[in-house]
Amino acid sequence: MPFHHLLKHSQAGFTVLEALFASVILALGLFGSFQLSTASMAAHQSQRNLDLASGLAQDLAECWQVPSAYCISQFQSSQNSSTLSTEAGIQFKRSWNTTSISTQGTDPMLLQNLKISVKWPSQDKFNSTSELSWQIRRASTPTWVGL
Amino acid sequence: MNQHSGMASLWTASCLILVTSLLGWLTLRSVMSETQRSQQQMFAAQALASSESLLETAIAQIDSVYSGQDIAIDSAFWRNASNSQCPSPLTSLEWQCLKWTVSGVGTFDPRISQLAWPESIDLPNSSVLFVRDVRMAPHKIKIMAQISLNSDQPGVGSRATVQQSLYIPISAPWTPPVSEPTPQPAPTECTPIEWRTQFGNITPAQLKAISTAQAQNGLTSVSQPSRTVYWIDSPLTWTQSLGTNSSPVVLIFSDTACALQCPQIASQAAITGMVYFQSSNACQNPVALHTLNAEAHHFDWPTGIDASKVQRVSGSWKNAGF
Repeated sequence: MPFHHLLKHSQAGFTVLEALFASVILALGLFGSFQLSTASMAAHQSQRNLDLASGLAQDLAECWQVPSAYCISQFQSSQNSSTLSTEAGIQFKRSWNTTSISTQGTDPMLLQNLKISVKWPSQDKFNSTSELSWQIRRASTPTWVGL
Repeated sequence: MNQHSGMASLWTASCLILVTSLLGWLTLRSVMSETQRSQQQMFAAQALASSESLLETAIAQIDSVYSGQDIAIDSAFWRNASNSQCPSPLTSLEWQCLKWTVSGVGTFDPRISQLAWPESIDLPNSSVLFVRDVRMAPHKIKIMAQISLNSDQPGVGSRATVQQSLYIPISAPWTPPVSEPTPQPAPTECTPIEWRTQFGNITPAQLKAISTAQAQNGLTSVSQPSRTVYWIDSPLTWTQSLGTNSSPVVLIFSDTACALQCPQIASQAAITGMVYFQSSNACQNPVALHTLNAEAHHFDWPTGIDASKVQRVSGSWKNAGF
């Protein structure tokens, strides 16, 4: 290919308008993509928090059903709430309340209900909290475990 | 040429947008499906917790019915039981099934106060099923709780089933009678055989309750399987043949039946098993029977158990149906 032909091609290039037009479209695309990623991350974080809250509630519910020394001491203490933080600094406040479910003439300890509430700062709205409630019941009927 | 360059740059920019949008969309889809999976897992855990709560309520209900009460409450508790409520593998007459639903208030006898159900469950779509074998194991109740979450819960419609078995104090572990050499009574002397030597720790009230349960469930001498325990309060002459070598019966004539004179057993009535009279009035009547060591009142209990209270059967918890 003769040299003047190459020179002519290389000088052709992009016009400012073309470059601007392409940049705007690219910027719009990247902005949309960024928004999608942000929404994904927010949804992911929100779900992660819900998972954590659910795990904390289930952990306490299981502890209530197992008469181990640690669990018994946890429910015997007068303080019926605790705060736990994640590595990201999100604080989860767990509180619980035990009530008796009985009918007239039955032992109040026969059937008990544990209501657990876990609260944490909401990801969606500023200065608001999300809450998860969990309930479980336990009958005092013993298990035959042999001699 | 310039026009072609413009088209190429537009094409390139468009492709880039398409690719980045596609990537973003795929990421969002991935996150959303992960979120959905995670949420469903939580709903399932919530449904399981609610079904466990209902199961615990049912266990407490049984405990309150049977603890510290006359065992006659057994027939009141099972008053509305029906074989038709049994799940498909348990359709024979020995199975007694009672469905407890909140919509069917009055499932239990009015003397039995019902415990409140958990708030999270959808009442019309939830139930508890009490099942027992009145012939072989009337002292063991299987409880199956099935729930659906109500509209107040985020996982509305999520279902779960859980079951556990209980021992109830309707019988006692069989203890073979201690054979002590006793002097043979004189033929004229009339001494009724002591209850404990025949029945061990099981009480008359318990055998009466088992007899009532078998009758309540439709078991008769000709049904398949047949009835094995008969508690008779009537003083009328007994005319029915009962029991076979493979299925001997226990026939007890109570103090009530023997108040004046124990009922006679008609000569054509052949009883295979054991006949027991609670009164010495029995000696006035000859009894013709094929005496067998009837095992109709021997029930399977774990060794060493205190059978006087309601207890969970160890290892019987399952989170599934029958």
